[in-house]
Amino acid sequence: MPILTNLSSRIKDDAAWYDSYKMNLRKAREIAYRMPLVHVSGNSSRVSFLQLITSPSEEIPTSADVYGYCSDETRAAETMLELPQCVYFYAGRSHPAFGKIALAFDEKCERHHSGSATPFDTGGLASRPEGKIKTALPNHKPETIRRFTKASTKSLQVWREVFVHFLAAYFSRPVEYWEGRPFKADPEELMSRNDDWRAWVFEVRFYGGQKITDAVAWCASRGQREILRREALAHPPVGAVRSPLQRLLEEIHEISPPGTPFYCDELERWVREKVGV
Amino acid sequence: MSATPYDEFEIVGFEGGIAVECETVLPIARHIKTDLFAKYVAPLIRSGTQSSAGHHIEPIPRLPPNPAAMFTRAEADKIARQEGLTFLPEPVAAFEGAMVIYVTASLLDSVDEWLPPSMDWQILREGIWVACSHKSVVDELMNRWGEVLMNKATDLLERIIYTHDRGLAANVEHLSDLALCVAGSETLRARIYLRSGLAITLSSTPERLDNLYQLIIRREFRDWTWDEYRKRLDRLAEILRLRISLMKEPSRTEGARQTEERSFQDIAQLSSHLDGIEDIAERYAECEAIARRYREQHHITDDDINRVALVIRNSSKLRLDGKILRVLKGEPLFYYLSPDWFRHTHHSASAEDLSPLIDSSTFIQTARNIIDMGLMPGILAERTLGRDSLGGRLRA
Repeated sequence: MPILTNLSSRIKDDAAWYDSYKMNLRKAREIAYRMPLVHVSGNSSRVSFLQLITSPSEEIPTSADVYGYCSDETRAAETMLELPQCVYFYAGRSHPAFGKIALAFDEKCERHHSGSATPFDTGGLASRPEGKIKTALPNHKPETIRRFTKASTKSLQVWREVFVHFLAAYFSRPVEYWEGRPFKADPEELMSRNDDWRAWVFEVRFYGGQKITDAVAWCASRGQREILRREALAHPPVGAVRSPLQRLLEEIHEISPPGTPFYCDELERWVREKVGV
Repeated sequence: MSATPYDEFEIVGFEGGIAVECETVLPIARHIKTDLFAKYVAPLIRSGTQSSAGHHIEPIPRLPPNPAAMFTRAEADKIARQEGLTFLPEPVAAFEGAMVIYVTASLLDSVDEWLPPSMDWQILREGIWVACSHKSVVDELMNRWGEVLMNKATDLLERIIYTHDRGLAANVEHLSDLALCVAGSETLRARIYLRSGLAITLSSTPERLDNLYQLIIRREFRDWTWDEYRKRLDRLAEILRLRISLMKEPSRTEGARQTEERSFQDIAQLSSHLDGIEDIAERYAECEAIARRYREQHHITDDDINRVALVIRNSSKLRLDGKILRVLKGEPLFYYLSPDWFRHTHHSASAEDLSPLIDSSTFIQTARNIIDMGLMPGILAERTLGRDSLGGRLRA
């Protein structure tokens, strides 16, 4: 019984849980419908962020091998879970393992995409030989993991409404999505057996590339920001035409402009301000 | 001594890889007992706070209070292969506020300095060193290097103005790039951006100044308008031209007294230009730069210093007011004195220590004496330019 299955009836069977859920519901709704999607880019072992933003497509590409953007493990997980090749986001959370620049996209960027979401990091669940995310599932066979993931998957069109109930139900206060951990266990025990927030973060996936300059905010490490600054200054402006990099620097809100080693924390701080937490 | 949570950890690496010439990065720690790894995380509750002055305060890195987001050695090795983390050659004992700094040989060559021995440096690989120290120590070192690089850029800009060799502009830009790479202080970065902008205007593609302002400066300094930035650049160019005149050798017909008078006039003229710099920290820094250059170029006799010291010692009726502060804040004549008399006060929150260059008691005393001598704020420079000099008055 995946995390979100029969959630409402499970809550109603537990008076204390129901009270907490009801108390959180309004705030959770406010947060969920305003929650930015966060993508961290610039893993130095693969295609750099500078290459992405100076490429003709100006996109964060999907995990397709041809782009050289995501790892073989990501593609293996997609194959195992029968997911299409995707662009990955976390709802409101930012993890530095993926690179040195964190980008936030608002809800409008979902309109032109098809995609899906799950209340956990699929790569972490599907990793081999053991999942990085521990569960109470009977085994870690591909079929078992695939079935569980499919049952947990929501379409891009409805994920925010599902996220409302997820936030209201599993956290004593919605702020614990960032500061703490779920206070109720789920049937497969992802939330109780793990300490890494990727076991309970909402992962949102687009099935096509996402234009970088649709971001609404970004924050980078000092080094990454310096690389972008130098590149932008190396080229004189050509009339009114701005390159994507110039548009990123000029038009999109930069959090902590000189760059900071705490770029993920800073982006999450901005997200929390935006959603009012 | 009681054990702290840090005793259970050692710092084994840092987040990411080598991206630029020098950078401060978050440490990666290992829990010794369990062999699990974690990055130093900043508790969100301390993240993004604002100081009373409205400046953003970065969180101090510390270990997570619980084992959240810890990963195994195998995972750490894998992340390292993907350049998501870099291992130190030797682990370092963990402590609160730890940060890692890496520096390349190209940066050290540019600052003409070797690695400070106060930090335990390790060779990461050829031409790249790494050390772990408290965030404040690392920030201070990087700001100092930033200032050294900026001063070199300033010297080169003077050469361009003096020799009209515009080919040097690229070197200034390179030095400014390096300075911006390491400098974190807002005031220092503002001053570096002025050098960078001036270098661009002197380069063969001056239209890039638009890029610098539109794409970068407007982000970091939201209250700088284009006009204001242009004025700042003009002012810096003018100051550099005056500095060049200050450095010129005295003519053969000029006696020592005339040389001194001319020097005072030059420095007073510079002072009047500095009045236009509204940012007080920026003005201090420019004053200090002028004074440093002045001391390098002019021999100051012990008699001169003693005469000023006598005036300072014999003064009475000390009283601190806004006028005194204003005289000293923008008046580089005071920096004519030997650095022995003007000690750095570092940073202090007290109103008396607003000057970053001299200790507070000397600051107040000197200011009051100047006022007692009839030299009022803003008038000192004019008088010196016109017919008088501080040196003459002190002798009288």
